Amino acid sequence: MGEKEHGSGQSDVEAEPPSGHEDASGRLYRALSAAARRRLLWYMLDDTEEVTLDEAARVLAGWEATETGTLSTEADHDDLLVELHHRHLPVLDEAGLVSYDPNEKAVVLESLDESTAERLEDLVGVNDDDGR
Amino acid sequence: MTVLEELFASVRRSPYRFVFHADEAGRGADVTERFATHGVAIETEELPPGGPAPFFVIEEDGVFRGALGLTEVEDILEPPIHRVERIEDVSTGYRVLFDVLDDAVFSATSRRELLAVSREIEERAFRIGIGTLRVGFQKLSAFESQEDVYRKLATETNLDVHVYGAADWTPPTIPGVSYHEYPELDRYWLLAYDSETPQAETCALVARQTGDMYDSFWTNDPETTRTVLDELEAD
Repeated sequence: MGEKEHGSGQSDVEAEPPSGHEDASGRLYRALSAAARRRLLWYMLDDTEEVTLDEAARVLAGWEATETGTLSTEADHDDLLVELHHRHLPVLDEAGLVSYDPNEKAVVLESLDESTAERLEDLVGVNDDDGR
Repeated sequence: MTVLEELFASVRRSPYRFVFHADEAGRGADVTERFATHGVAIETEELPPGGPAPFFVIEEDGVFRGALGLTEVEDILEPPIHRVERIEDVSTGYRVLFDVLDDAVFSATSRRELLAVSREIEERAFRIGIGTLRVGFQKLSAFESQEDVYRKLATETNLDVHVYGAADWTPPTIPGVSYHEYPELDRYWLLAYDSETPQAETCALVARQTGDMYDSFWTNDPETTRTVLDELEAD
């Protein structure tokens, strides 16, 4: 897994571009640009409207395991926790898709308008590696 | 046999929990059943359709230990299990799963495996040479093939040996061995040993027959061992 992450996930390791001048559409686009964020939203969209940080990392770790065909380890899970906490969840929060409480480590799905939900469902099935 | 049933239930609570994530409840039933017989708590989390392939999240005392796809888990469980080769070849991460499987002492155990564990307990009792050994043979006739072993155990040590079982056979008189009819034991293969010394050397095997195989656990825990001993002695 390490190999793959260092390769395909490279873009994700870089800092998020500054978001100060983005409009709502730009923030949404950015929010949906990373696979991890789309996956988490997809998971929450169904009927899981609230998850803990740990739960989110477990689902993403499992998802990665099905793709790599290897076991996602505790270290992989820890990496996901860090990535979610420091990068993905703040971006989703800023885009108004979830609200994330970094102290409680709790994620709550915001109500999405229909077009956003549809766009998400279209995107989430794409197993690209653009932003793991 | 309620005490033994309760013991089974309590020991079965292993520290491991596998959470199966899938968008179809029916998939993976074989594998989840198999884990359940290893005493692992299984939970199913339904995923929305259109997401990942089914996978397991492996927890120990609530802590994430690993996640693995159903397909890969099925491969691992497929006999023959080439554990060492696989671990060396593929990934150190698999060690976690094998640890889980190894530490979960419950399984569909064969008579041969139970005999090996029984022998271990008997030899331990023999080496220490004092204390109490209580053995449930399902039926007393099963004792026939073990007569020599127990004659040696009882005569060459100071062990107090008690044999239990349904009385379908009249066992020979052996000094140091007492027999107890215990027809309720017919599903249970039991051994429990307590050295009754300050160091408390204890061990027990509890196996319950299900068809041709047994659900079983073995333990060195003094408290669990004494529960088995007390249950037998109470009769």
